Amino acid sequence: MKRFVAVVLLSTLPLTFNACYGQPFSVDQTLFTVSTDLPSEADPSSESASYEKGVVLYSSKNCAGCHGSDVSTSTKFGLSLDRLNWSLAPGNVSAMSQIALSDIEKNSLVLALTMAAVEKVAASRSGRMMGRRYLVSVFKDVFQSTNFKNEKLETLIQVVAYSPAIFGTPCNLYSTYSGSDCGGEIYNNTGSSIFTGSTAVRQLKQLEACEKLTSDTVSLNAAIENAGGMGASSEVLPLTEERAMNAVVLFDLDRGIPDSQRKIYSDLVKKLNSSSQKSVDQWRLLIQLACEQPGWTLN
Amino acid sequence: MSNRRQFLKKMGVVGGGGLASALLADIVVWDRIFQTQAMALEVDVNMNYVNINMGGGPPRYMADHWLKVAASDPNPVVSTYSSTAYTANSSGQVTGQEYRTHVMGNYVVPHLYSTLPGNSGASLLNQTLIMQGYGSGIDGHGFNTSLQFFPLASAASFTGCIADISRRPFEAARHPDIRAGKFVSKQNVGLNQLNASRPLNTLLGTLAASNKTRTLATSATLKDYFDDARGLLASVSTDSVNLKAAQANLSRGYSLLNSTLGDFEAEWDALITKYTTVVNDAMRDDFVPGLTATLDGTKQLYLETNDTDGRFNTGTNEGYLKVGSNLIQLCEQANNESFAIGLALAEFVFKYELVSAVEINGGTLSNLLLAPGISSNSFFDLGNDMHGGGGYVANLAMSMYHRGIWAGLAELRSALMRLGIWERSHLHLTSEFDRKISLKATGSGHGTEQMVSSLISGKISGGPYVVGNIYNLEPGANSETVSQAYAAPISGYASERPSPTTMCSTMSSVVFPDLNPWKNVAPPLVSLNKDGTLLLPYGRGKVIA
Repeated sequence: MKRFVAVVLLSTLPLTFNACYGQPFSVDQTLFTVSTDLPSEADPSSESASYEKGVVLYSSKNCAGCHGSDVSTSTKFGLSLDRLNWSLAPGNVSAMSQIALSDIEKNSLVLALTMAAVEKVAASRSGRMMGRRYLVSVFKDVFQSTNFKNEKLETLIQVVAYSPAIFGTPCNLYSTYSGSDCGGEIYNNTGSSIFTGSTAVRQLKQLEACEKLTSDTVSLNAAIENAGGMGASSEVLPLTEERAMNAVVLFDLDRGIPDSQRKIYSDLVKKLNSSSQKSVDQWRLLIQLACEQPGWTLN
Repeated sequence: MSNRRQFLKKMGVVGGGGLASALLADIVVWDRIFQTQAMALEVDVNMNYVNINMGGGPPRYMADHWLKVAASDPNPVVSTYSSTAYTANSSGQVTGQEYRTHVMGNYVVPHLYSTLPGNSGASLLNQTLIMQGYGSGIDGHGFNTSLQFFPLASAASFTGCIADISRRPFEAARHPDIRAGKFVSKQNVGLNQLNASRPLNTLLGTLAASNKTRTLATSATLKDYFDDARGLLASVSTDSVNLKAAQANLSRGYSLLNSTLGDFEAEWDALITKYTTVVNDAMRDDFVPGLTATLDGTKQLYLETNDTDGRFNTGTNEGYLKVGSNLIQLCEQANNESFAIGLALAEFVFKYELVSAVEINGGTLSNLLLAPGISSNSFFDLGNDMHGGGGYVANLAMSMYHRGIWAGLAELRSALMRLGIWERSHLHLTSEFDRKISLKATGSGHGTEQMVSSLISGKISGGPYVVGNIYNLEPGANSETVSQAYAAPISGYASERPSPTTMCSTMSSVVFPDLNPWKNVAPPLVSLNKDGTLLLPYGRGKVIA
């Protein structure tokens, strides 16, 4: 019966969730296996326990006062019945010892918080990061000039290009043996896949590549040129808001700049323009900032 | 707290006038991000966990797979693959092998632990939980690794569970490769795959002075503008869990840039030297009582090779130990470099609270003294995936391999004790499977129904503890089906025969008891008391006739 209860409740969950940038995605069927297991601690006799009751109880019993505004953001997501009973027992959690809950109400709360956990699991698996070859292609788009060859570009981005285990996309084994794809380190191929998740190492390596690129005059000038910031005599033009947005969007041509970020960049340009910093340094700061952001590397 | 101070010192915030605003902001960001998980789970979010995975499936009978758990168990009928010591005559000549043990508390302990440096064998076992008598029954090196790392699709992997509650800059790391070692997070945490020989280069290389270009840092004004803008960008609200995770990772990266953690070379070199010495000395000792010397330690044993016991296959090239050479000297130039690096990595990242869960390799036994032209670099070389080769060779080689493993773990435990962080540390030993006691040709088969896993934990006291039952059967002469250590049912247990899920559930009862995601599917075989002793609801492991 308890499995029946769980399945019925699951059927009320939406089958799609909104991924980043509003694109819907399907939930992996495995997740439903999760959810049928998770509520199994619920009292089998509590057939009238429900997700909806749990949501109401979470509010009416003032759970939100300590644990987050609603079940979807609660710090108690995934709460087990054992854990709830322990918390309610006299002498364990003083703030909760005065709360009286029936078995049905306890099960409703557990179900509501469990469902919230399942939704979070689904959300956390909604997408991944782009592989190293995508990042390399963007670097080459942004930091390669149409007017002059950037001889050092390949070297400057090696920290990304040679790290398949960190950035994803396995080595090209045919070129690996010549050392040109993964730097000749086969171990790097281990654990790599088409996509990977974000890690602090990954973000550090991206940051390192961006620093190297923007510290290199040729690479920086190429990016400025691609953003429309280079004059007819190859002089660096002043950083304007329009040119700044051109530079930012170079990294994410398909998705553009969300309004919330546009304002931050806009305010930054104003501050830079009002400073005594050289134009080229203003450009460097802006491009480095845009380059280091993880948003454009999301799949 | 001492390690916290060490971390802050490395971060450059101890002894100064106070926290720099950007650094303080980042620390606050971390805390906000991870506070939610910490509050929700009520587990030790500041734990240190190492998985030591012994790839290749080495025999473990001489170490932590016990064929006789208590005095009341029947005496095992052993083979050359499950012996724990050599017997010798008065002149030191080897006369055979035996299942030698010593008594520790209520347990009968394999001989190996009495040979470890100092009193480390008893000290380690006092804090050790062994689970044996479980298995998948399905063949495959990688498959069975995967099952033990990630036994249930609906939950995170064992390491992933810890990574999900970590509040350290790099939640989880692996060095360098664990074949089919599945890592799965439910909180969008990624696994940091590290370089084989210099793992800190992957982890902290960006922080090295040579890589920190920081052109902007030459202007305080620009740096301030940059920090303000990047802080605002990081705080932009988003529905994308992936973007949130990436922003948090980037924030941690920025904070680390202010640290001196990139200056790790000298400390790293010292750690490598220390662990290499400890592990190699333990493996190379040619005067170990019962293994390479007489029990009183006065004479070195000798066993001249012959075509049977000294036989040694190396992949497709069948070779032998040099005829007439002393087998007991087999390991005197051996090394286990990968394991030593893994131990050094664990000590470093725990000292500075950089990583919560580390997966390292148990490594292998390289550079054995073989006949000219024959090399050994992996367990596969010990006779075609150990299906060939002589038992005498395997027994000595594996005994010395495990001496290196446990001596290295003893040193890591001591180091973590000196740092004051052992109480929240866990060392978890896994392997693909144990080997069958019954011989397959001249070697041993895959023991996919006789796995073993051990947990040495700062939380445990009063050990050793052994759970899970095994059969006491006659080893088959050339059989894949009969072997003493075959998993046996546990009376009253939900599924009777424990599985890899049971192992993960059992070990998590010590490591993250409130979080155990497998308990409904596979109830744990232990529960942790407040004093560190373990309650064994299904009794201690026993040998069933």
